[in-house]
Amino acid sequence: MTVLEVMERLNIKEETLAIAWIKDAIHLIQSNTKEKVESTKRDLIKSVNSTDNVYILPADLVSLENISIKDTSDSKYKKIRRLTTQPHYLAEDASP
Amino acid sequence: MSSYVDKEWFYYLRGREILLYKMQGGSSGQRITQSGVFQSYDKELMYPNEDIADGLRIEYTRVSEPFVAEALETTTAYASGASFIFQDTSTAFFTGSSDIDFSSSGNRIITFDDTSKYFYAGQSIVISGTSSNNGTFTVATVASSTQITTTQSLSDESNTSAVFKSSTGAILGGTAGTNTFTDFLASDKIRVRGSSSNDADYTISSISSNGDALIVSSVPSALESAGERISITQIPLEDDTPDATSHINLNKMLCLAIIDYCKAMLAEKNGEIDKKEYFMKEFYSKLGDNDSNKRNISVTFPAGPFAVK
Repeated sequence: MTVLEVMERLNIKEETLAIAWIKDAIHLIQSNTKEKVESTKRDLIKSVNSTDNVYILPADLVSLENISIKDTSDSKYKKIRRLTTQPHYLAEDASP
Repeated sequence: MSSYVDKEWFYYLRGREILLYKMQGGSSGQRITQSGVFQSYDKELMYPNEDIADGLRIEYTRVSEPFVAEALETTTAYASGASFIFQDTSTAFFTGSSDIDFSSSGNRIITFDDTSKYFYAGQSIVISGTSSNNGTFTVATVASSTQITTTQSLSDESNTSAVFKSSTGAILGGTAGTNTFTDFLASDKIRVRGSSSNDADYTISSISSNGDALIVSSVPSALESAGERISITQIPLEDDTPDATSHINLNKMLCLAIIDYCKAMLAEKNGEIDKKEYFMKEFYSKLGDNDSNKRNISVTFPAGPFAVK
């Protein structure tokens, strides 16, 4: 379905507004269903303190499906579990 | 080496960040002390203590390619086979050693091997290694399994060596003159899977006149002979600058849901909140219909796999 068809069904003439609403609707759809799932990979780095183990979520993320880590013993990505509370940082306490 | 990662690694979400931890195991010097949270494991956590290339995989939904150049329902072109050939521009796809004849009569190149699968009408080839026929030529016809003609003039030369390279990246069907890629059109975006070294997304620049080769805008990463079973599937081509003619990258049901959403927004703009509520209900109803349409068949499956390749 084209943007023009949507505009005609709505009887509106503002193309920019129609495109903006369509983008909003797609965002809502992605937020409620799994219409299009993407994946991205990052290098894991050896961490020595609480700033090294921090990875930024993708900026275009709408909803998170799962997080996996590569098991180098069999080269497969395996889903890991989420902690509900953040562990304490002994390293930061020892070197304020 | 990381192992049992599904049991020993954990993540914590903090705002826009993911924090990774792993079970302390035997590395007592790197532990992060805590109590209570992991009593059932009877162990403690530490920061990841190894480098793993592409070690973190995040699966998520995002608003990607909201507008495309072609309706999703017609993005259906597909081809599959074990005879596909990939040609790059830097590697010779055919080399003759004192066994190739060039003839000025009819601008023919005659080989003694079955080379037709490497050539297609309209192909731009670069010939080197000859005495007087080096240069860039265009294949006019693949006259037989051992003979091609060119649109440019050739000089007579017998039993010579020659190296043939392609001027453009291409995917060949493997049988000259056979319309293998009948479903595809120029400007289509395609996804190649199953090849040894050329799995990627490509955009078709043009298609040979016989439909036996796809000329792609990005050159395949390596020359590849036939052998692997390869599938080529058309995928939506994003429209970066959407306008009235752009297609929404969703199926018809979800497009109808979008119309309900837009009607709801229009009602809200006009101050008609009851109408807005009605259309939003319709919107979510169609989302539900769309999902349930995929679940009309009963399925049985084992416990969810934790591993994906």
